Amino acid sequence: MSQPQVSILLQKISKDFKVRGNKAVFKGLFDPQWEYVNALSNLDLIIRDGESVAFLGPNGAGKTTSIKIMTGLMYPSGGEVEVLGYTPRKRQPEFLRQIGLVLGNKAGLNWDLSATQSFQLLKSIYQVPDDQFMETVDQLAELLKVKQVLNRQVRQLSLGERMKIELIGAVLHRPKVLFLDEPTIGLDVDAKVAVRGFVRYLQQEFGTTILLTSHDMTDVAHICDRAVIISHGKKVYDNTLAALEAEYSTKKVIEFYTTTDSTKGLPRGFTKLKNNHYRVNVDKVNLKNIINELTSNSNVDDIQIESINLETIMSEKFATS
Amino acid sequence: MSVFKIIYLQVKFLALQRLAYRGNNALNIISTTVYTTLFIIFVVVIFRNTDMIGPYTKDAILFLTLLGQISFYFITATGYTSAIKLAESINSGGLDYVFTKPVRHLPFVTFEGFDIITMLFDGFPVIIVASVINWSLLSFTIPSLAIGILLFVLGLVMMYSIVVSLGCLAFWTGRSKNSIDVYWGLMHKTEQPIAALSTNLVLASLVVIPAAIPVSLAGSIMIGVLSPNLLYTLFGLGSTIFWLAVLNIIWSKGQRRYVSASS
Repeated sequence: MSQPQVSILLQKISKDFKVRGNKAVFKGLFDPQWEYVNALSNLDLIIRDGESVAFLGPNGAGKTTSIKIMTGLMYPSGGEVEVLGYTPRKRQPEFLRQIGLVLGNKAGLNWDLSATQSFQLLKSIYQVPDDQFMETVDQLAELLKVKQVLNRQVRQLSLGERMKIELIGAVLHRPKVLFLDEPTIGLDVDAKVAVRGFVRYLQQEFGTTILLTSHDMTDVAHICDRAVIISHGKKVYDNTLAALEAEYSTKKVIEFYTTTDSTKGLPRGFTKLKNNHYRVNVDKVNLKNIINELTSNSNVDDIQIESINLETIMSEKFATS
Repeated sequence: MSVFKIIYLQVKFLALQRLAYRGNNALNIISTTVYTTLFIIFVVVIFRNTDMIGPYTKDAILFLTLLGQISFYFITATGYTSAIKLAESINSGGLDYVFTKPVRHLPFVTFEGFDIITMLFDGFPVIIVASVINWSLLSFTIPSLAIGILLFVLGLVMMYSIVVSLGCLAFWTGRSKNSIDVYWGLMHKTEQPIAALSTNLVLASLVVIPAAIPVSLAGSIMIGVLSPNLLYTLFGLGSTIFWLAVLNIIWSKGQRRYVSASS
């Protein structure tokens, strides 16, 4: 069976930002000195049609810069980018008609208009046929349970309702590639669950290629099949989530509580979480020894053993990258 | 066709937004009415002592005032508001959602602030000016009206291009409130009695005060104080093309510099 076509192709992408280097205000006025900050460096990436990929990394790693380059908002300093066969920075209408973008902390809809009015404008922009428009709005609003607020001014909606409306607006034209930059930021649990389910539905039902950045690993686990981790503008990991979890399946997390502040006799490599509350990651083969060590220590009050979760995996990956 | 549909919807939805704040709009009528009334009194007082300023009668000056008011309220409620909105979007990263849409981006942003409701509310005193003009004392002819109206429209397009170009400077400066405010200086006292000058001086003054093209030049030609000659027409056309080209160049270079505010 042949592989699906390439949706997104990044080859040796780099991005430098020119910033003012002067610390002295007055000297800087007459003798400005410029420095180049490297945001991305030789980034390679291939994403195929219908994939759902998490683009992860600590703050400042270059995730949003990468998305902005892929959507044509920024010009790369070097390298080649192709999305759906187009060069994003040319901002050709045929290309823009096939992508969707949701930025979790930027409002794309007009606050003084109702969702229906904003959708009307999007319908004209994307030239969505009447019947498809009605059907899509109806279906998606039903799915996200926002039908009853469609005619309310966006400013009167809750954050969760607004984000759901933003998502519907971003996919009204049924984009082939959907870029999501922290779409669940600030949402409550119910809204997060609805957004995750919706994005997964788009990928599975319409074959939409998803590129997601999020600091919420539950988003990643529910929406994505593959993780790409970048740090300091460089790719440090690229594989399926299953492979990533398998890599850590030989490890366990032990959390334990002590009766005093003393750390004497505790296993090596522990991390203090709170007062008298510690965590240590161990290899399965050493589990028995560590448990013995902890139970024989009269200072230890309670012990929990868990499989390592995605959040911990990511924090280890970020720390080691 | 789609471009016009999009512009129509932008204008319509902005009007709906403005209607949501109709109380604020209504209050603005007071200040524009006071300003216009005081200016009419000023003109009337001056013409108590003289019949003519150069070749202009009181009604001719009031007619220029009328054109000045129409162009001022039109450009302020359309180009100026679009420029302010554009500069804010450049600064805040709001263009992210514009540049990722399959539209012609320059027309899209230049019509984003096309605010007909503010224009109608603020421009209400235009009716006062029109009502005090003795129209029977103004001599219109078909050729002078045709050329005058053409220059008026070209002048509005030119001023629109100038003010949006000022807004585009935010691509370089981050903010452009001060550069956009140059607009207020440009639109100040556009109703100059330029027909009192020689042809060369008329053209020179229009280079310095381009906003006088849709007002003093177009108005003087409409009422027959200046002859509707080819030179003035070409000058108006040339100025408009020049400023449209400037806008396109600034826009094209500016959007390459857009880095968008980080999220």
